[in-house]
Amino acid sequence: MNQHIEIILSDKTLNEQACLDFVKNDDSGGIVTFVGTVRNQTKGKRVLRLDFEAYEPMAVSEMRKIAEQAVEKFSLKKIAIYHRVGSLEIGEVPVVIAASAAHRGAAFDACEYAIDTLKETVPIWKKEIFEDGEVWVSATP
Amino acid sequence: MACKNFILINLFCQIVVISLPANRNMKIKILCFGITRDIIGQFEYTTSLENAATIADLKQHLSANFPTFTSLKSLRVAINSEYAEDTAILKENDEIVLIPPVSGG
Repeated sequence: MNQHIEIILSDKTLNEQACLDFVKNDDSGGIVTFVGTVRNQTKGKRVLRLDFEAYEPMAVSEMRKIAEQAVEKFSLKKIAIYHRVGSLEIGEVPVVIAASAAHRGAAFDACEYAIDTLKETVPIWKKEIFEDGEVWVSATP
Repeated sequence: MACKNFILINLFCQIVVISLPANRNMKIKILCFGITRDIIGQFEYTTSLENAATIADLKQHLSANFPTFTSLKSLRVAINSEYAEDTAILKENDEIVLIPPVSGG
């Protein structure tokens, strides 16, 4: 188990402070966190909630791969990636990423890399629930 | 389909021919996430494919049986928790998972 990396996939409220605390260390000059939140509309249409589901073992292993790549690519000191599953209300937090590095630039780049790659490769799906129906996000062109 | 024919003579001396499919098919269980579960209508879909069928064969089978699959932006397949290429060969006890476009975050 890599002690520079923490991956959590949970059906409970994510602990943003714990994510930040995990990456703190005396060798770092900067920490960047990314917090994703559930927005109340999509293209002007009111969203009631988002339902997230994951192919859990693979979602965890793919998040770990991203974390390992980010540590390697940006010489991070530490990185934590938390993701939520289940039904989330407006304003709730589906994802938290924290990265620490000797200098802030690497931490900013690593956070962006991690969330962009997560959205491409991690087997997690969200369904938008509207007043008049539901749609799996990005499933069809 | 190749068949093995068995001829049985029953107690009434009738001749009965039973055709059994040759052992060329395998049964596979597929887990369906996201929109693929809605298309297929169940989370665990069991079907039979020819032995040594590939992921490309599975995709073709799905499109033939559930035409809505052709409207997806993409479809990837994981074997035992790893993304697999279209040429990968499926085995009976693999954990096979359909991965429509992901949308985490």
